[in-house]
Amino acid sequence: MSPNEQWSLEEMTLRQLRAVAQQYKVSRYSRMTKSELLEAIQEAQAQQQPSLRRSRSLEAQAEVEDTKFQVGASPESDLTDIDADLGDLPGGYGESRIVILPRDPQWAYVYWDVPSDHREQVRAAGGTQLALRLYDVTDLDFNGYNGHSVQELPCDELAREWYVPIPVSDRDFVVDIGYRTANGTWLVLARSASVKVPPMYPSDWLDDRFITIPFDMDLRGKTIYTLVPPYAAAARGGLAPRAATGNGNGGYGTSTHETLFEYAGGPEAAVAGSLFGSHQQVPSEFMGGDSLLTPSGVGLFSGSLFSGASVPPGRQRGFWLVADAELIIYGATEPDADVTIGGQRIELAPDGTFRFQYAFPDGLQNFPIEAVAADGEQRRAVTMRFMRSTPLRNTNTKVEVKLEAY
Amino acid sequence: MTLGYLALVLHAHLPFVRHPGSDFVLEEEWLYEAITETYVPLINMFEGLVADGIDFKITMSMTPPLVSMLRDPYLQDKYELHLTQLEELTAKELVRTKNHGHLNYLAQHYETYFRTARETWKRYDGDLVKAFKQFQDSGNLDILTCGATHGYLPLMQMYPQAVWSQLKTAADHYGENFGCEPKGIWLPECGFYPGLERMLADVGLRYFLTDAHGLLYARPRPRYGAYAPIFTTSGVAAFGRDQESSQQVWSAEVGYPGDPVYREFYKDLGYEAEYEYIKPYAQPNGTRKNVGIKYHKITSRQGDMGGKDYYDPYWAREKAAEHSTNFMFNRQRQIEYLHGVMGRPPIVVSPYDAELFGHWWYEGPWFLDYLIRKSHFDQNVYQMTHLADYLGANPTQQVCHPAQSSWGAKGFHEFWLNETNAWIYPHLHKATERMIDLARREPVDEIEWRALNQAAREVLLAQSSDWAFIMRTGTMVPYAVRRTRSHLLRFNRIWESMNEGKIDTEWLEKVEAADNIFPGINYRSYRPL
Repeated sequence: MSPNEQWSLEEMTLRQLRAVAQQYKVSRYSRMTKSELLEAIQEAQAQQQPSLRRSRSLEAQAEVEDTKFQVGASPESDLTDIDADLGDLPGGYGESRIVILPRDPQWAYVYWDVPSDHREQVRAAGGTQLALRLYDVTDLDFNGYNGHSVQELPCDELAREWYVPIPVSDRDFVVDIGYRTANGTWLVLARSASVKVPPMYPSDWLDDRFITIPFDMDLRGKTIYTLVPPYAAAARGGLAPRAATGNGNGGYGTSTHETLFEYAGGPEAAVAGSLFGSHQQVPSEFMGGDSLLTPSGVGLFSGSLFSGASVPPGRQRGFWLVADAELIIYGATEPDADVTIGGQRIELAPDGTFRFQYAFPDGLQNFPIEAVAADGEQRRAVTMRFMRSTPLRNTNTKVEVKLEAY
Repeated sequence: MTLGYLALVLHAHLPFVRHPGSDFVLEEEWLYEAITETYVPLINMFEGLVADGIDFKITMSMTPPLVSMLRDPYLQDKYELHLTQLEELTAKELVRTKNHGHLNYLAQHYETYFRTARETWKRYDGDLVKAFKQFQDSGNLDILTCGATHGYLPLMQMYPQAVWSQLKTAADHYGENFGCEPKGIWLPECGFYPGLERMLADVGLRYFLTDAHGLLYARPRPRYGAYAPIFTTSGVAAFGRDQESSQQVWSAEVGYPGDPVYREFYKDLGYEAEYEYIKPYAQPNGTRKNVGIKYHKITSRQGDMGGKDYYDPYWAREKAAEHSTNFMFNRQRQIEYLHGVMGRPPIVVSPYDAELFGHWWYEGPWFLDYLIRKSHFDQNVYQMTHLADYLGANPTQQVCHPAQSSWGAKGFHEFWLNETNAWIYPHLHKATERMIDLARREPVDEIEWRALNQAAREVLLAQSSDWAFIMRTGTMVPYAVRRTRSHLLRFNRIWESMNEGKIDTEWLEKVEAADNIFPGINYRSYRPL
């Protein structure tokens, strides 16, 4: 902001006004009277400050919240002398670090700070290509090698931040920055803490556990209930184990869940799996022309060094693939026996058979199955374990078509 | 016997803005406008309801920065001056408009409006927190706490100590101001992430709010969607926001506040009046600013600012009554339907920014007043409740893990993490790491102890989500940048001087005097959990 603008336009001389008009590229300003100049400049200012008008492309709620802060245009002035000799914020803090922040179910923001001597040291050890590695570490004690999946995103030496596409939502991720050597070895410069990315879809897990907690109960240090995660839960096509009915409320089915879900979130919630348009997370206003493309075309960065002006993907085209696995458990016993899978009682068909279909995510799935005869004494059991790993995943559904610049 | 519950939740918050020693800082007017247009009208409304024997129930969060500012003698004095100026200007307006029937009628309206504000202000000795507290003590209000400085918790989840300090400092502050422990919390921007429920329980809290998808995407999927709270595994309850009632009030296009007879927010006398006349009420450098006197109605949702007709509070009040009837009707149908599907009483939770009522939507307080009265007298489909009462009466709920979410645009973290504001996080996180490091120390003398506490205040103030929010919306950006930088730099200076073992006492005193929030802060809240 120029010094002139710290003063009211309305108190300026004709000469000062002309200077301002020139800055705002007001045409034919030299022929205008003082009041004409004033009007033309204010109009130009209004156009440059769309925030004072409703036209700003904010969501309705953000616009309303923002009005709390609208009292007029404030000149930039020194507020206090406390900060007079504090200098400026540093461009870096001189130690290697990397941080990953979830932005939404599909994108994480990653920033890093790696001093050049550290880079040189690692390059001297054979590092050639600077890259990010994104590990899925859900429910793991991560040691650098045991991630459920790993993706490598080559990146530019000048970048300091990156938007990373998330392969599967609702999971925990860690990111490394490092160098790959010619023979494929990974040399780590820095490793982030783990963060959880929010879910893209509503859960398939149905398990209605109701508990009573008196309002005056102190909760400090207590775990009131432990939910057993669902290998015994996934359920499409009516194959779900009937949800547990512990509170005598009876008659549970999927209809209440579905009805209320759609009611509360609108039809698009159930169809697109995305309540808030997260399949178009990148507003058009961000699609600037100066975004640079990574060799792989998946991560994006801004070339500006310390500016913080990072730019998510540019023009886009889409392609998609979905693939997943489910597990079917089936068997048979006497129709009047009690059968549990993982401690949870299941219902048998009238002929004593059972058949259930489960989600089969990465990791080890343990299925202890026990049948107890009607006399309560005779028992049979079988335990099965299934291991799934997904060493590669670069997929997306049709509705969440990934933004790939070209 | 009613079929369900309606819970209005008002989130009252402003960032800590206080600049003693500076003659004029425009941003302090955020508070003054909110006092005149929102907090005072709410208090007047509550008083009126009680006087008429209506046992109203509203949940309201009052954030620590707001409570601190409302109790700050310096800001109280400045508000009085601000109000005096408005009264003076209104007196001039009564003269200026004496030959214009409609404008004079409006000037009289503002005269009454500001006089009422003055009377309310005096009645509570300038301490509006006292006013709100009395309604909590009588059971009408359920006052929630918030993060200490409205820090956006999901983006500091890698630093549990930082999250803990936001919660613990806020809970302690609440105790000092309201004389009891907080039971509920408004998570800043409704930002939730898995794991937070542990800390909420440990700080003594019982419930919080998320946006609808915080519940709809919970695991396992909640049987009752967003229309019953769920218990997290730590026992803390999560309430979900109702989309339908939100839309009716928030939306500028289809919501009530956009009605043509309501007052136009963007056409203010401060910009409309002839310059020499308004100059004494402009900024000291002569630049115009909003004064809060607005004579026009919205007139048309498409129309330009030039073609606005004069406002008439009489018809605007009639419209607010009509809208409250419509809102009530919709809640009745909604609750009947939900009750049928659920087979138990639903709770419809409708959260809004408190400042929406009165400041943005001038007629909002009238709308609330009519809604509460009509709900009380004219229907028995639902009862209005607040969240504490509801949980007391309904202690059996489903157990689920709520989903990571916020109530911001697009439902996650993007509004506070995008190309306009991502630059703050490397600095915020570094300061957080340094603060956690500093917290290991025990001070050797009083000066060190004060420096450690001030360091904690600076980190907290830098974390206000408002700064990132403002950078994104584009309003008052230089101020938000300046505040972020300023608190970070002050923190860094303290950190350096602690490491060098020499603290500039004179400078520290100045910083303490300026950033005087949380006098009872304990920096040890940054110790590992």
